[in-house]
Amino acid sequence: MQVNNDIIGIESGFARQVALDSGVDLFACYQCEKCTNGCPVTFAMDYEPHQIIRMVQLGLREEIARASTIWVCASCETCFTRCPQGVDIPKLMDYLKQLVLSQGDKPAEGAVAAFHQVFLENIRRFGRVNEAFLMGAYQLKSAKAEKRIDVKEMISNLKLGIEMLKRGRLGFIPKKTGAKEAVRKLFEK
Amino acid sequence: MDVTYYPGCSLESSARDYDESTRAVCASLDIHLHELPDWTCCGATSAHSLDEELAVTLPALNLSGAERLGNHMVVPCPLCFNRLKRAQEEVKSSLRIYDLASFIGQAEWLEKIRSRLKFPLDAIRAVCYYGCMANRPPKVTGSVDYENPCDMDNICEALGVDVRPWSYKTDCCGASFSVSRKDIMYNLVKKLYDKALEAEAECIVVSCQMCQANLDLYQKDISIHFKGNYNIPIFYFTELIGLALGLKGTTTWLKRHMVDPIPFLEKKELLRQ
Repeated sequence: MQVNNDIIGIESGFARQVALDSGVDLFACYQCEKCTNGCPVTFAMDYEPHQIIRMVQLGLREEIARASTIWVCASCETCFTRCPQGVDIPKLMDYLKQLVLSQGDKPAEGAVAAFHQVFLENIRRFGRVNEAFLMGAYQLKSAKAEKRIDVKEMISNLKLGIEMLKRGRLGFIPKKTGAKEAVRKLFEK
Repeated sequence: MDVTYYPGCSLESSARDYDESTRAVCASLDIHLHELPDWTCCGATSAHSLDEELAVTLPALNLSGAERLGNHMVVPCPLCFNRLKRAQEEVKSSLRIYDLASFIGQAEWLEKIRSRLKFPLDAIRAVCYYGCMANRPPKVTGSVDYENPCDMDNICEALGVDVRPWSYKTDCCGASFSVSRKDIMYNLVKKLYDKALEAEAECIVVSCQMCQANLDLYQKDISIHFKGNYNIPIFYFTELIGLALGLKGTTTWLKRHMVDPIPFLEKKELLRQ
């Protein structure tokens, strides 16, 4: 029987490719759902972790690219710690995030992706992360990614920043590290 | 004892209290910290989320520097600790890396703490909260009791604290979602508050600056959001050691907290500086 995979969006070979590129043995998963049962953030996910594995196995590339789950995963490592088959689910989630961005797809959680991008840019510039710069850059980048400015959120962050400043918990001047250039080189690749 | 010290970025700003108390506690226990010269960011969650190569090369840059110094390396931030340990696996470095709480939780230092105790903290009821990265995954961290870590419990008990058992020691606080998905962090942290109170704790003791930030900086907002009335001081374990050993500077560290722990400690007659 000829099956038209296009109709149901199945991409054959996708699972093999993901397993090979990510190094995650996703064929070892037998859907026991231990990952999902221990996951602290399923309440904010559109698909549960074990479902994401099944979706990769089935080659549902487009659904995965649109999934919030891969960004909502907090990398807490509870699932990987408890998986009876040793499937490195957080590593799979990271791989899928990178796949989405490398394909030029819009990440389902623009703010989360923006945070990570701004964070890396901060490291590239200073060698260390400066939290005040990070927050400022994030506000701009996430507003652009989400195409809206959350004024309430901005004010609340600003207020928090002032309180932190009063308590000596926010530094505006990036601390110098002599290895700044070495870090830049790592980014050049 | 001479050890290499890798503070990590947060300890230069939002977790200055953790850095200051760590340095003071180590000095008082004759642990000589030598800050790794020109250390750089470990890459944190953002590097492993978006760039698997930087997730290794960024921490590895610090490993090579630390190896040259030869001493064991102590890391207060569990996320840095975790990333450095992973990179170590990749680049096959033989450096001995400790997360600070496991380091001070060793029998040698517990003994020293007991022998130098000036002001036992018997009046304090607390739960110890470890978060994710100091223990998980055990394959990386080398942790044995990863579902029920006890280093901080042992330290706090040595200080006289009434340490309450609870099942949420290693639940996630939401980490950087405090920035990008506050709603998720609020839900996770609210649960921690409720479970800590259920265990009859008056305060929460932490060893992670992300946990401290999420539990302390946003406590008022979380109270408003859930129409609750939380007022739970969030201490670094090093601050409690400072308090019990009568170390200079303890009040300065505590004044950096958003949830003011001073009235709580005054009520317990534990502030003597």
